[in-house]
Amino acid sequence: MHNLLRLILKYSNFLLFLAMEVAAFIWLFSEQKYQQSTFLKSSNVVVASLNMLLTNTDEYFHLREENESLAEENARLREMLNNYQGMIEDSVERDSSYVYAHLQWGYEPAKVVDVMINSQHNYLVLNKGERDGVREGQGVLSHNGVVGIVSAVNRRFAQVIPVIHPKMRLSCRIRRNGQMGFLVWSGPSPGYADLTDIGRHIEVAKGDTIETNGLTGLFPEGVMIGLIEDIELPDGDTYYKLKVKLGTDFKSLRYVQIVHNPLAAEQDSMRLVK
Amino acid sequence: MKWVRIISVGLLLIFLQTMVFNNLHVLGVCHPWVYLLFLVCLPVMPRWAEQLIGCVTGVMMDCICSTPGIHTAACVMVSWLKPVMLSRMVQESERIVGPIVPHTAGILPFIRLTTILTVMHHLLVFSLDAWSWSLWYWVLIETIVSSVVTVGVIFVYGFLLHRS
Repeated sequence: MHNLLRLILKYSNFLLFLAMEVAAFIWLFSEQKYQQSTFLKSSNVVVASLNMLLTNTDEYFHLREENESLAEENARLREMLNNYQGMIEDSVERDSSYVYAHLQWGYEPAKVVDVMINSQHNYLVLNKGERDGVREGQGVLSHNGVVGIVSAVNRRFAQVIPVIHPKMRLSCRIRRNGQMGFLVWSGPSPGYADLTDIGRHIEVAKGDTIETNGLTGLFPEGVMIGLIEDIELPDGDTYYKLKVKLGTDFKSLRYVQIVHNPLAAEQDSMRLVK
Repeated sequence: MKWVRIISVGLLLIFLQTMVFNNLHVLGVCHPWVYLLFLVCLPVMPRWAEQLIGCVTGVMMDCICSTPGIHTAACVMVSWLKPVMLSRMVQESERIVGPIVPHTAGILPFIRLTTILTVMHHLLVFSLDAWSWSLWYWVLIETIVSSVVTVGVIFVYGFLLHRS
């Protein structure tokens, strides 16, 4: 016993090192669900608050870019308005469910106050939380496309898993032919993702637009995700390897919209009916 | 008083890391972990204390960056290796007074210590973060580029800001 104690004392530093390393790795491997992430701990809220303060100052240096971005969005909204006007004039020929499907969505503007896009644990923190009606599982859009899904919420902030996260698998389609696939990201670039499950018999071309298919209830149908930039068809493989340039520029992302779908719960409940 | 100063420097570096260096997006591969300066330059102290400080620093970084255990593992490794390497590079290293900088530890040992510890720390952080063999080339590039910047910042501190 005495010898054992002496041995432990002799190697106490190494044993302490070993214990701390084991604890760190247990922490790493036990963090399976992203929702259990450290976001809800106070440290992250402090960082988000500090970032919000810095963002407010930083905004003055980016007014020109913001103006250009708003002008682009204005143009896009004007185009959408024209389309809706055309739709109303043409309403006799349209099913009323089409109109309701496009009017069911609500949008809550939010500011990005913290962002991590350098890692395999990418995330965003928004300045809207429970008190603003934000809930887990809501979709998030930028004016250039899909951003991600709200993964955790506290009173003042919301954490978002972006599409550039290895655990994200977003159902989508090719706009030109309606073929469904999944958008996945395995890194490392925050500007690109992969489109999977597109069979070799399907015609695809560089520049094809990838958009949401509206099946998940998180995003409206037809929201741009990105453009196909590279097409590979490995010998003997039944699926394409498609590289997608994402519409959202995560490096300069400042403002987003949190998507609210009042029918989401109803839609989800029907998935359980067999 | 000495401990208050050490803790203040540590907190300041973590603040700088979070607010400035975490927001650097240069070429997509440069992600320097400058807070390492705190652990590298930490004065000589009992090894258990150094390891404990390393562990606390890592846990704080992990909580801030939402990277469970990654920085903790890397910081604990650095805190354990540093005294071992220092004792081999500098004779009577336990007699060094004040932070580990060129004029206390010697120019060559400081350069070697900083470079080796930074590369090992960055390699472990980026490897655990990627957690995939298929990204080995990216981990390697990130480690090299980011280490150059981190080592550069530590050298600026050691050689220019801490000359006397």
